[in-house]
Amino acid sequence: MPDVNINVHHITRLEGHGNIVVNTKNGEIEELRLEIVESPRFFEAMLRGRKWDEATHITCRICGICSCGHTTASLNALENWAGIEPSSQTKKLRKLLFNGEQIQSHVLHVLYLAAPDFLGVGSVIPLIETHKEVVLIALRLKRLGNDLCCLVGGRHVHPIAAAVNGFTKLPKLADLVALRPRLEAARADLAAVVGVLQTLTLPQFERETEYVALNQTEGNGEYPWQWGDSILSSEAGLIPLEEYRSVTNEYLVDHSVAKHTKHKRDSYMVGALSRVNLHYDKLHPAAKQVAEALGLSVPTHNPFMINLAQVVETVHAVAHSLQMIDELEAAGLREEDRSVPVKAGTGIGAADVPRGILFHEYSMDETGTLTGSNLVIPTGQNLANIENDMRALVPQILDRPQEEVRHLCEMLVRAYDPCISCATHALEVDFI
Amino acid sequence: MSARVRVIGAGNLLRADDGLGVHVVQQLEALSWPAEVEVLDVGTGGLDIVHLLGDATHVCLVDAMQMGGAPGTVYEFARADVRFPAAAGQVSMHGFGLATALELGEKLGIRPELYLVGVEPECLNFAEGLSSAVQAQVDTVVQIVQHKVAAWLAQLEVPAACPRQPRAGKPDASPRQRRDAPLRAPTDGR
Repeated sequence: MPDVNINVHHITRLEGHGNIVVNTKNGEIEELRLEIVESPRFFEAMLRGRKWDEATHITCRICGICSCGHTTASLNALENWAGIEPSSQTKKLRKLLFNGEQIQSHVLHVLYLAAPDFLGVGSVIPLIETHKEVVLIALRLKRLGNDLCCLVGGRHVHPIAAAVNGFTKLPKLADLVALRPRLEAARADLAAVVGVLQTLTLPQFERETEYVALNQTEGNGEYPWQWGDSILSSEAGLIPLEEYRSVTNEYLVDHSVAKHTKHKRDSYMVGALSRVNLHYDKLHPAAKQVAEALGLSVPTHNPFMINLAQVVETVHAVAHSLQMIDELEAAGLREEDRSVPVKAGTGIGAADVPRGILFHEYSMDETGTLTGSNLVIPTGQNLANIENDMRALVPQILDRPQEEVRHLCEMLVRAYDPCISCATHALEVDFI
Repeated sequence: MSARVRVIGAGNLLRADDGLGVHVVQQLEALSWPAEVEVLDVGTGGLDIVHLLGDATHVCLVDAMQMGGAPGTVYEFARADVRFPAAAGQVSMHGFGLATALELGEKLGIRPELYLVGVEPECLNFAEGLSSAVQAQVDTVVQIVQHKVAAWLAQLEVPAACPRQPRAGKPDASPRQRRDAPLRAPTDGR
């Protein structure tokens, strides 16, 4: 059996290290590491000494992809601190904001990042030649997600209107209602996407792991990703949200600046597949139909199916958004009391954002100044699980050419869509 | 009507000079513009640029630019004059940066007249606020953008109306800028 030496060095401009290192000798793994850096610790230090109402606007700048997710987790934590139960109107608008982000993030991940692998091209750019309709569908859906975020959140990225206990500026009801035909059209677009995905073959690989997702014990049976009061584990059942540290158990490893986590096993999975595995019954019927059409039956232990779970969730988010708009239209939008009692204390909040469960915890003094914070991001929670998947996958494929082994390892990492540091977006430019 | 001229500021406010585009846009947002002009802060939205290019005839993009010059060097050029190194390895959505967005837009035939304005960064660490070298150029960049937009509006025969009066009381609770303060780095590494 040939030895494998893989060192995929993805240099993303600066801090982001997304490196895969795999070395085997005589069929045994000698070295296997996934090095990905996203360091919430810097943001925790930035938050110290700031006022409670700045926390959301700072943390939503951490990431341009799950910006609304950070906003949601942050507001949930702040409302937990202030002892506020937001109004029904606020909750519905927030769900729209949240859905908008899930739609755009999932669609782009599946169609721009994963699809090129399955369609045998190196990136999304050549797809324009071969599958232009898929690229255009992705752009349309992304724009819909963005417009939803902009309409409700007041900005395309990094929402500004979503605040503790309400919205600083309400959208116009007519604008929300005007999104309805586009959401209906999105259903057709997604049906076309499902048609393309049905023609693809995912790598056959299974490894059972612990699945962890946000949960609502006092919910209305909705898919619990925008807010939750507890954590659901496939191994341990329900854990109160305030005990989230007993789930994450963060620990340091030498090769990663990001901390790893483990709970009942030596790693666990968060994200779309974990949620679908745990909360399948709460998905919209249209989403369940798509799961069936894609051959996704739960529980699924193939991490490559994350891509399909994301499509299922996208269909759910579109259907749920239509429902929210109907309900908001029926009730009408009105200005509401947005007062916030400031006090010393702590607040814990979570949201199950595109890549998985995201925790925000803040400590405040009596003036509402942040004295401490803890952010646990999804990718950190998935890192150990990705490595364990890779450790199980590599021995099964060692007989294949090294290039194929490398490619499958990359595809596996991509399936989780890890959050390589959002880092900087400074343009690198050369003159012609 | 939708904007025909769009000014887009990109960058991460939490990464020091990378936030240049957003800092510039925050100043531009405080000015009055004709209805044909839209000024947008896209933060680290990256690929969002594609559809913000779509329905405009002229787009001015403001961002930090690493071109090897001295920190604080101001750059401005038309899209056709430059090329971007191949996009970074895409193991993550975060690999989709502005360069990918522009390439994708071009391949899809989304080609508004594009002008880029930027400043060579000094510091891209986790910190809020701009370095003094870059902060010193913010007003210059704002003026460059204003002139460019005015020229485009003249081309489009839109009545020149770029009064420089700030709108009153515009709320923006974005992370505060520290114009005169030194870079605020986290004091505690953990």
